[in-house]
Amino acid sequence: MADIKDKCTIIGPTIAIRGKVKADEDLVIRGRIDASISSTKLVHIDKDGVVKANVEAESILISGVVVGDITATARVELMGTARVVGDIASPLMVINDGARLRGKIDMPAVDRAMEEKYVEQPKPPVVAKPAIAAAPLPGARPIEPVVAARGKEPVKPAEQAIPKAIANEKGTDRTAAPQVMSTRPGEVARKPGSVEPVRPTGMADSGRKPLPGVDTKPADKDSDLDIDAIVDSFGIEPEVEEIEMGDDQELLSIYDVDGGQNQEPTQVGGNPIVAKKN
Amino acid sequence: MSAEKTILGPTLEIEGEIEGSEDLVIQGKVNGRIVSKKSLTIDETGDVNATVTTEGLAVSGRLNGNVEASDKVEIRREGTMIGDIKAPRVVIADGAKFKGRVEMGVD
Repeated sequence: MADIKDKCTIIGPTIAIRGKVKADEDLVIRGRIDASISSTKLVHIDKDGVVKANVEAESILISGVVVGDITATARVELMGTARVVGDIASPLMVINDGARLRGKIDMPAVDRAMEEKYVEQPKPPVVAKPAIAAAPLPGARPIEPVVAARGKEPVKPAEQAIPKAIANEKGTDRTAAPQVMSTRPGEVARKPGSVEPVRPTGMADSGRKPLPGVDTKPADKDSDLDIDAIVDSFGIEPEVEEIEMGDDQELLSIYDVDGGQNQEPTQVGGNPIVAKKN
Repeated sequence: MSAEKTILGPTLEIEGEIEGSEDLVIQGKVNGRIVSKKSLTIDETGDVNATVTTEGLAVSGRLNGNVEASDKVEIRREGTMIGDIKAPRVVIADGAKFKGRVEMGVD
């Protein structure tokens, strides 16, 4: 993060702003902002900061809570304490271990590169990375759940899988602390229009063993995964809705209450490669 | 930054509402409403177009809007204010520009 010292504005913890905020200087938020933020510099949402609106800036560093879409021209980094519900668009994206995200991630700049690189040589670089959120579907395996889900009642397996993954995820992925996701936007490339970062979050560990209740049969080349369906199968969408509609208190409480369950860090472009493989 | 003070820098533009329980210094632009339980300072570069409710207010910049302060309102030499003031104590420094009504609640 840039230095928060020189020229910057710090919005203290007891400050609440509603409306719109525009800035040409670094902005550190420790209070509560229900105002869309647009900045040409850095926006840092500190640990106690809560932003419930869209954020646009050159770079955005999140340690607190953001509910809203995030757009950066340079980079976005979610620190371990970050809680984000919303879509993220940024050429560069870092999600640190512990961060919780629910939303799509779009790294437009990477689209092209990915198309060329990953699509042709489906070598699984992704798999190698024990990313935090563990790519939901590392290796070929991951696809199965997906496929199965589509065919049958996706909801069941998905639900089961989630808690499990979480359990494993805790403490395990420590190593993956600084995760640079930019490496695997393969998927992004595949579906530029609708990247679904919300990859089945709960499947973090699916790579290790097949999800319960899921057919292990290899995915067919119908690898054109219907991401939306997958997401649906995890009941993610609906929850998001609720969140967005809820009032502030609910919002916040959600994080506390089941932050550990539903908001695991999402891997970006987790399994594009995988998909290809199968 | 002392935890008890927020400075909204000169390039900051806020449209809407600001609420706070800490000292607030405005160097940028604010349009809307400001509610503070502590002091509010509008620096020379500050340009505020808002209804203000606060404990103390000091204006060195420009303020356009009505003010209600529980303690004191001060318009400094460099300050310009247009609007009504309601506060037990009001100070208008030599050189300050002010247009509006003042009510010091003589009850």
